[in-house]
Amino acid sequence: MKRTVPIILAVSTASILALVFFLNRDFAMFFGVTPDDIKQEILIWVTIIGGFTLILGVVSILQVNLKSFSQKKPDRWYSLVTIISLLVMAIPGIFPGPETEVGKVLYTYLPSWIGVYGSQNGIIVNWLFDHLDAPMMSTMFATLAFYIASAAYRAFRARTLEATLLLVAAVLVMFWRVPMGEAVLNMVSPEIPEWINMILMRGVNASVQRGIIIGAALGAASMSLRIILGIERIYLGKT
Amino acid sequence: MNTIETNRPARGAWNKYAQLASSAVVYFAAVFCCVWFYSSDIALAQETNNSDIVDTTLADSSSSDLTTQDSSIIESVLASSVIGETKPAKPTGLIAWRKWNAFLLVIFFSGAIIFFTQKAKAGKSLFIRKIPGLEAIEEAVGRATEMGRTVLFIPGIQELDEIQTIAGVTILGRIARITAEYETPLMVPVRYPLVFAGAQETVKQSYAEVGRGDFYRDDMVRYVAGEQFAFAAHVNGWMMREKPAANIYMGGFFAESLLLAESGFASGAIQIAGTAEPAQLPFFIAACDYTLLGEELYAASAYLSHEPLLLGGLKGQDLFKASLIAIILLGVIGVLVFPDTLGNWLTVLLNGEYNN
Repeated sequence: MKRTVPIILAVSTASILALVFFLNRDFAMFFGVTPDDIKQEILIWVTIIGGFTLILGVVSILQVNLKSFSQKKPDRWYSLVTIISLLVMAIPGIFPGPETEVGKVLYTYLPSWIGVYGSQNGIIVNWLFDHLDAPMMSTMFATLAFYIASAAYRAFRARTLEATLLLVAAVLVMFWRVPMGEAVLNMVSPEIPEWINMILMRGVNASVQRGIIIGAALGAASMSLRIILGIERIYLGKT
Repeated sequence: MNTIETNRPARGAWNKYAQLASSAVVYFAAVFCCVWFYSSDIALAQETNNSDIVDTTLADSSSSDLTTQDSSIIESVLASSVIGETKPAKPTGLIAWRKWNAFLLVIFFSGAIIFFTQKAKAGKSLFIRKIPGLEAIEEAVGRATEMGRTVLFIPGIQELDEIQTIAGVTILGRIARITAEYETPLMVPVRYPLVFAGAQETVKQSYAEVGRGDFYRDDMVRYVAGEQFAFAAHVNGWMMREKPAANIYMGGFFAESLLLAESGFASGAIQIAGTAEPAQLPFFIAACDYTLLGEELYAASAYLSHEPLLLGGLKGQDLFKASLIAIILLGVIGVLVFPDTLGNWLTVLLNGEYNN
């Protein structure tokens, strides 16, 4: 029963969604709902389940970091920062805004707190997001340039024929994409940038990418079918 | 290149698989037949309704002033109705017949997979191409065991409703069985709560299946952060502090792919990655020891299982892929040499035009 019910759920849900693809909107004339409605309804269920699992996620963060801090592990200070950050972002967000019934009563006694909590514009959560969260995310993204440089240095060393081809292709594409490089190529021959675009990007690159995409799509379809038919059951711990 | 010999499991297990598969097919077919049966009635009903709408609208139009919008509606209804038209009516009914080509491909694809699954069930050995990245997984876990360090597994950064994440979680199940057998520490950071719940249950079940349930710990799977780069920052920091021996990335990755892979490289771990995102593959190829390209990600679970039933699916997929290559070649020849016959026929097949 522990495995049968999840398999039945997985098989029936996947079958319904696959079947919906082959149905017209006229479905609504007989059953009262369109195929898109069914699809949307199932996706709403997924969202609701996701909402509940968010609690599990928060519990996991607190458990792991509290354990790390209490056991005085070397990285305990990072854990402390994580816990404080979680609370600082969460509490102002879940505190009732002045437009809510609870907020109206609360801010009667705490008038100076109006405009700080809740979900309206200009509140503390937005400030934290704009001045802490967004800059930190941008910083992480910006470091990608340095990682690309170090990875490219290793990848472009011409040790083998394949690596040499990669190096030549990369140099040509970089020349083509950088305005100054394109200007230099145009000085040699105006047809070179177009040649790089046609042969390298829209020729070799596009065809290889399409090959990978077609293969991946078939793989995804095959895997979906294995799950729909109940053959792939490792998600239940069963081979 | 080697051959993976399939082992025939107990007859009872086959019966169970066969029952499940046949039940699913019968269920699917029954629902489809019901829908087909009712579709003709609905089509008739709709044609009648269309005529009624035209009659009613024309009657209304004689007694009242019409706006431009009303006129356009009437024109569109007239254009779509069967009155005075020699052109065949647009297909209606429950089934979207214009997708006949997709249905045909689904039937052929399913048939190929079921055929090879049956062949595997009959005890025939199946040849599966060796995939170095997957062969290296056991070696990587073994290395971690010898070094007494952790195996890091990331099932991508997408939600659980994405097929790449599902593939990642199924591979996690296989790897968790190996780490359980070797008693190697496992760490699985995830970005979404739903993936957290799914991955935690998968790892727990895998440990229980190999009789090592007592080695399972709840903090093996951790919900880290919902933000993409916060997730990357946490994992990077953890990698540089804990120095895992093996990093395995399987699933959908985006801009953080290189951040993770380069940090993993700097920490000295053996790295195996797999994704179906073409834009991220070059980053993984540059920074990882082994990379699974596109479809190999979806084949990984079956490959690692060595289960004939699952390997049959891979063979079916290969047959379908070979057929697609043949169709593409035929299409190229058709469009170039016989544009009015073969080329046209293939265009109709691929576009799925109905009644053209």
